[in-house]
Amino acid sequence: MSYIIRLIKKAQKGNEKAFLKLFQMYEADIYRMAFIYLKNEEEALDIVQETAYKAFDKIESLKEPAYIKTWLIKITISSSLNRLKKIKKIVPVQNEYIDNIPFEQVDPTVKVLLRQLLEELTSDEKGIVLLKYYEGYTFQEIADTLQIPLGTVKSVLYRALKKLRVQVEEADFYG
Amino acid sequence: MDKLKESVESIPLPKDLHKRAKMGVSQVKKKKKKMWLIPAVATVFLASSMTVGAVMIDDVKNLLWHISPEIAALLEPIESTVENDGIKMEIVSAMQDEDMAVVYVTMQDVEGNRIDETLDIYDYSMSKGRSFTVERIGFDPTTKTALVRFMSFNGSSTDNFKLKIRSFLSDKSVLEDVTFPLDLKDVKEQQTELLPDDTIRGSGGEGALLEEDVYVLPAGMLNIQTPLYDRMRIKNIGLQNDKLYVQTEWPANNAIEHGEFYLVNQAGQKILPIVGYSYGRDEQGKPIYAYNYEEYIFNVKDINIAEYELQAKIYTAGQYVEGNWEATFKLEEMKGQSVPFAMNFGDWKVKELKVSPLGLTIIGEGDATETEELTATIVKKDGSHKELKSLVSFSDEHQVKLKLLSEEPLKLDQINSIMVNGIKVNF
Repeated sequence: MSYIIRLIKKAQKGNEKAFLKLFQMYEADIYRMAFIYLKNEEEALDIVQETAYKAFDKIESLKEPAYIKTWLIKITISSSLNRLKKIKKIVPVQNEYIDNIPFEQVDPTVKVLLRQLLEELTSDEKGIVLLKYYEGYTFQEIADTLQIPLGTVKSVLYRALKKLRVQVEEADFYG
Repeated sequence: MDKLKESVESIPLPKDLHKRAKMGVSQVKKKKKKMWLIPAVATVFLASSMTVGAVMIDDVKNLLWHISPEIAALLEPIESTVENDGIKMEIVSAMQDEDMAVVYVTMQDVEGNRIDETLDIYDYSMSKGRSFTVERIGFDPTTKTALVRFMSFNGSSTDNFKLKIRSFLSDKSVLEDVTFPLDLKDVKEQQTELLPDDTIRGSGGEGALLEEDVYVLPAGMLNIQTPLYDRMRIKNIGLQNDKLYVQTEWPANNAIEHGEFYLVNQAGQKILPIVGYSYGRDEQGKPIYAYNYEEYIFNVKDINIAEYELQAKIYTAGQYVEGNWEATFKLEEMKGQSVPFAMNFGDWKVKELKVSPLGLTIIGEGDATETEELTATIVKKDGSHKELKSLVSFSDEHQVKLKLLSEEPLKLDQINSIMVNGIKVNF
């Protein structure tokens, strides 16, 4: 973490090389999260660019280095939702994206799950599922990140998992 | 739940992922660079019919008459003066409408000559608003007073408004086509060395983000200067791998003065650097985190550099003054007048026009990304016309709000009509 703190401090002084090294650690997560929302490579790349832009522009406002990843993820989610609102009104969402993804030897069940994740969940559900199972956040961290009540996080996640036909482990919710 | 994680991780990453992150960073750099390299269009945009005839404090009024009689006739001064280190700041007038605030300030050096016609407010803040701009709009050499206009957008307030100036520049100049006593045909090959990441303050140019590692010339011992500006010198120059490296040293702790270097031949063809790095070196030449060195790298693969000359455009500032000039005051509310108006621009539609002393606001719906074709002209009752040129966008989420600022005061009782893209709207 001290390395990350050093990079953040340099980035806050305007050192873009330090910022890019920092951003590189998270850009894969940022891209994949954006892709889940937008279902389109080019749109997801736009979000990566937008997130990098907003984060570097405002990194001076990041007071607590430990929250850098959460901060970047918040920017990613909010940018993705804004973009989604915009493109939904302009172009119909494409359905063939998943067939165009150049997967390399992926378990067919994983591919099916990804399709469900992309197609069957609402934006709210996607955000919570991603934070919980991709980023490994606790319910409280999800509630804090998305600024929604803890109960809502649990109920939305429960609903999402049912849609995905994933076995819901009660310990996840009440443990 | 590992399957869920696995499914997300199965999304392949595009090859240009990191490049797009770099492009995002590059946008910030361009924005920041633009903010202080390119001065705003100098418009004399004034407000308001309601302040006409106001009683003014005599000395401020006299001062303003020297700087701009038009402004003096229109502004009602606020008695708010701050003096720090012999430099007096006075809030002349402050007003707002629902979108923006405008504050007129005079800056006067009562002890010396630190304020001149090139005054550039460098570091300032305002208590309300999301974006800000400042420009000098007049100067009186007799009293050594400059009139400055601050604008703050998206932050209207009924509370007290605070303006703070921390530093300014003056005695500014731009030296064009500066030459150096060196012949590029004599430049030799040299080894370059890796510049540690933590010594780089910034970079610019198209190649800046494509290089993972930064290589520059070793600390040089040259002392090539131009007689026009003795605070900068070329310390080293060399060729490596079809690239020309020019290493320059600038005053320590001076992030203000800077140069734009280029190669030019007799036909006037210019070659700009593919990349430039700002970094620091200590007295022994060891790289450190500072900004006293600039290194410019040119691609010279396809040219004969003997036919070219190194030249520069140098931005200088003889005075950089720090201090604390802070004032708190109320903003005067400017009321506007609305009329319904319909016009279709394809991606967006106009629904309403609103005129206030601060400008004409065009309100609509859609995505108004293309606004170049928008023109508006004020037609006054005396038959004269005034085109509105400066456009500020407050659009958000399909709600279009564009404000056209006037170069002269908008007195509502003198407006007969407004022409928007040639269509007349009566007021």
